[in-house]
Amino acid sequence: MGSTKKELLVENLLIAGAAGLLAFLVAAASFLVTANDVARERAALSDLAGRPITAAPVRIDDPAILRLYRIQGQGPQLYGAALALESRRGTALAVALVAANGELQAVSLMDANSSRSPFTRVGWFADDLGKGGETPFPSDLGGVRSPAVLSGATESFFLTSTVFERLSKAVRAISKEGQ
Amino acid sequence: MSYIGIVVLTVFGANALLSYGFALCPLARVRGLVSLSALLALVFANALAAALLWGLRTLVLRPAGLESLDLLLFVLLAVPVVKVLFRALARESGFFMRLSAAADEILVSSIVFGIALVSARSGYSLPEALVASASSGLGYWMAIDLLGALRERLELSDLPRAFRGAPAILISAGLMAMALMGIDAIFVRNLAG
Amino acid sequence: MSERRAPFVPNPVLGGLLGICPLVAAANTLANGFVLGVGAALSVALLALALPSIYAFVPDRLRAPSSLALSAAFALLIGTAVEAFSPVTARGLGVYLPLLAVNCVSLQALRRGPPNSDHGNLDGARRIGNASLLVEALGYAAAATLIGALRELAGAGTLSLPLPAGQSFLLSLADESPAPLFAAPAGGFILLGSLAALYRIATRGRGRKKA
Repeated sequence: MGSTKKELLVENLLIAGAAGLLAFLVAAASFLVTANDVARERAALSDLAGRPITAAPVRIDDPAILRLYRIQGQGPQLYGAALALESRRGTALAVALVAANGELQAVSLMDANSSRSPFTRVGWFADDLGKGGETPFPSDLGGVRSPAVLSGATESFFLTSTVFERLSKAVRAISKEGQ
Repeated sequence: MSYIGIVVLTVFGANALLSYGFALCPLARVRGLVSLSALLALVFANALAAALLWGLRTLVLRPAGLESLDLLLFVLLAVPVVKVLFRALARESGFFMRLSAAADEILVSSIVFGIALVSARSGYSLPEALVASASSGLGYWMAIDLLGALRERLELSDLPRAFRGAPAILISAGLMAMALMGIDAIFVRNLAG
Repeated sequence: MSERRAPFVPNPVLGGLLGICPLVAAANTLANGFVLGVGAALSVALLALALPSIYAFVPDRLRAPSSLALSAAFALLIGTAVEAFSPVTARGLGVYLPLLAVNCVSLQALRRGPPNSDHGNLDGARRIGNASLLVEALGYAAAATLIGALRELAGAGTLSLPLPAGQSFLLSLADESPAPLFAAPAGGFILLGSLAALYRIATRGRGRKKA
């Protein structure tokens, strides 16, 4: 009886070990891919900010804000963010520059998974920055209720604005911590 | 988002069957109304599984930066725990045996896995994840019940042979999904905050 | 005289309506359909290769959880590979990549269990079992790609596919989206139901022996 229990224990430990090995493989692959993603985001943010990004990324508890970077250099303190904007009409990966007081400075689209996604339209992000564009979306929902605008576009605009609000809040919190 | 908003969104706007397409296979065979034990299994198994996955992600994986392992740990830890809990219940009475059997059937399927992953990855707090997953189970039950009843009606109709059965029920599901498309995040925010 | 036809393996999606969950919601572009189809086929192929080892070395009581854990690990690795290739496609597919672990086509591979040996020919039985699984998996990949392509054509008027080294293929056939409904799950249901009906018409009489 004692050896049967021992055998069971050995079997369980071997299976647990195999599961651990599987978990290690998955984690290692994920780590490599994340390092690649971080390099891509750093390159995009460097283009936007005109400065190299060397700080380690900060993960925050928000599914749409992938990583935050503190941007060092001369001039006012800036933060870079990698964003995942998901709506029913498509997904987009974007990078954004935010000042320490939470004000959005610049946004750049990295990639979108649907060619007709509203995020790929020129001037999509322009309205959030108030700088105009060829086809800017209206900033108040009243203007969006015209027959020419599809409801999906309304939803993606709403979700994007919400993400930028949360980003602004997160940057202000991190900036306060840093002081 | 308020809890009412989460319930409205997960039952209607982001319905587990009609928006996410989880567990479509039973669509081809369900007839009539789904039993109470199946409904309770859907609600409780989903809530329990989502809560366990949320706990694993938030308390174990996120501090270690290993969120990529959430599904593996879910399969190794959460699924057996939910199974054992339902099996323990099965000794209570005939109803709980049926509940346990229903839970066993749905546990390894896209409905439980899908709802758990969506709830745990959406940035909800634990109470919000519990409400979202339980009401997703409710939304799934509502959709499958309606489609099961519709299927009975369609069987009495004189449809072209090629469309009888699953093709007709899929197209009906599409029309139902179309009706729910208007319930998006803005609608829910205006309705329930 | 009797005439026997070649065995007919129905398409798992259009004939058997297996594994249609991700196709209805997520396969709304050619890229998504292709990734989901190939991902599922790869998952089935890897399981077909790995499961005999599980049956040989793992005790009966631990076979089910071990097989499921293996399926989950393969799904996560496939998701990681998709993210390495195209992060936005992986992000757009969301939970449907991890859900390859419980895709009905993968679950079929898990549920088949150890191969039965007829007249002691275990290897032969295993090869036939694996071959039919792989044929089903390839059929699934083809159907998923077709559904993704049709939905993108109807829903966006384009066909696009991310390529290596940050390139992408884009074919634009219409200036506006012809029928945006098909990009949504509602359109996915309607298209799948219609394709299943067409498949029935096209394959009527196949697989039946003639007397």
